[in-house]
Amino acid sequence: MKQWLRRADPGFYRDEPRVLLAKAQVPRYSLEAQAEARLNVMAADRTLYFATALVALGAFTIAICAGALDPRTNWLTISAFAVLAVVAPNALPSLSQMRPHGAASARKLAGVSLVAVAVALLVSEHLHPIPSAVLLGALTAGACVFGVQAIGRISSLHPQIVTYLAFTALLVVCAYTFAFNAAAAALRVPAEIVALAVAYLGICIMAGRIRRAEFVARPNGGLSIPQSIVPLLERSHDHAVICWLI
Amino acid sequence: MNAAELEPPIRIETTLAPPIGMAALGAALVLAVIAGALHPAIRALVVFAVAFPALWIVVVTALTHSTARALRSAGAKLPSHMHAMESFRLTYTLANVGQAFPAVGVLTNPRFSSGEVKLDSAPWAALPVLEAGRAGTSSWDVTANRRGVMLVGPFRASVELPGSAIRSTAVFQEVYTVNVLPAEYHLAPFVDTLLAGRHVAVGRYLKLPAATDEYVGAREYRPGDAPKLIHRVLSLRALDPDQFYEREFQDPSREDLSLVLDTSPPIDGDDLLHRYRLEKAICFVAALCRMFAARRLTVRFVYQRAPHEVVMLRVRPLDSDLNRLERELMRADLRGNRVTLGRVVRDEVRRYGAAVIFVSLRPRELVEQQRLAMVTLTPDHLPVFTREVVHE
Repeated sequence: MKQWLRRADPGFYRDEPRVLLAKAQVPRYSLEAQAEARLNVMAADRTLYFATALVALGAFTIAICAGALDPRTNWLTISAFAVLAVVAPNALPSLSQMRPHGAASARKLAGVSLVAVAVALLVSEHLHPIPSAVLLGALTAGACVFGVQAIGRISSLHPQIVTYLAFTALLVVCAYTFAFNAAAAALRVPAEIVALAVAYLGICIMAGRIRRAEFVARPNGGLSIPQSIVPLLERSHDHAVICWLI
Repeated sequence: MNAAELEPPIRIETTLAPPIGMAALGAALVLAVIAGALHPAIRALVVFAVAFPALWIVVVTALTHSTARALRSAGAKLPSHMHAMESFRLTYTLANVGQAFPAVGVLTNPRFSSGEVKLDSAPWAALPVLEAGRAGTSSWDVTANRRGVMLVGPFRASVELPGSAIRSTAVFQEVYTVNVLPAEYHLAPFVDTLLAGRHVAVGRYLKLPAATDEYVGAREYRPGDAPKLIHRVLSLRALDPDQFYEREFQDPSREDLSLVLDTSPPIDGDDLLHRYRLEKAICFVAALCRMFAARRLTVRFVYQRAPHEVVMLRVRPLDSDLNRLERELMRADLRGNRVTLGRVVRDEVRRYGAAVIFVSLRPRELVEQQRLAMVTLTPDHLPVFTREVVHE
């Protein structure tokens, strides 16, 4: 009789042990998966990229006192901030690609920073040794990438922290300018206020786009700890309650 | 919207932004103030640099909190009962009773609990913009696989404007109950072989119906039937002049057969396997009773609900009786005992003879059950008679 039953319903005898052994399972949409999805959305967002570029451009304008700084005597300041202004908007898209294509993205960032250093070299009166210029560019780019990676790890749980850190970075640039180049800054106050306003506008846009990424990257299914009891023949979901977004 | 029907939140939960971000921003503000305070020539620049972010964060934080407080619940729509393995659409309506500002980026989230299983992390549905004085609806598709009572609620609505120092979550305490009945099975067509020789009403000892009998239909005439019970109208309509139809009567106060469900816990320690078999048996019993009801048979369903409580249900071919049976099966659990079960089975066989179907949770019949004139369905038999689970 049992042999006949095994032939009549082989699925019953094949799958029942698997069903009974189903214990707690990892939810399909963990916090790490959500963070990964959010990072990918943010990295592919061109509006966020341009907003970051606005912030970087505004910070650079403030750092060079809206052009009041002499590039020949302040080459170090100008070139360092130039590198940061170029690397910052590209850091987030590169960060998302770094995981599968680490070497290629690192080379891209290094190339961008070298271009910025070369441009700064051209406007400088003094011929600095090229190795020191390359080292400066590499250190600055490396610091920027390291900072973005650290921010990326924190923002995986709290995306809006990027907004606060952008404000912080801008204020640090302002503090640096106020402390070391106040005289030059006093020559172009209206232009610097405009640049600062543009940078703050960029941060506001960044905050809105990050919030949008949080909405877009929400999981569309929520699972519970499985009940491990599944009525006969239906074995697609070993869970008590499944809730899906529409 | 009627304002009186809107429920305010019972509390507002506030979650602070990451302290490291706020600390860094605070330190940067102080640094900028100190650096710029020594240079009066750039005072306007310093004031603008410090005031804008501070004001923005303060204003946005206040808006976030006031928006969460202005939210009201207009209720949820969901069924009061459903079958396991089925889905239903859950909709939840929120209203914004604020006067001026819209609620931007509101995330809503329900909580589910079914027995000891609790789902707190259901997906958040977004309402992009909820204008002042308007309502918005969030929807989810919910599948319940576990029979029993499922509680939906409380609901949460979260607001966090970009740059806000807090996330404000309004909690609405409404809880809705959904009765998740056993899953619907389809049974194979040959399941009525279980009735072969088991139907109590097979064979009549009296030619004419008793006063308590009711007319239940007509069948073809068989030699030996009472001529007084011939259905004249159907017989006149028959194409063959030699064909007759006989009226059938049945005593509505008497059940046609008895169905006993085993709910005794395992004695060999394999609790998981036993529970799995119980779930299968419960769904099978519900499907079997529906099939019997379709054949206009009255079933007496017996099972042990608690150690000292035996439940007997009369399941007539009526929706109300079938619903009552499913609600009873929804709560069935392994709370019986072998002694009481044996006594119940013997009593049923004494009353109904061979018209007893015993749904057991053990793979083999016990020796004393083999001697009884009833049919015993073990877990090995159920898949033979089960075709598929009904779900959309």
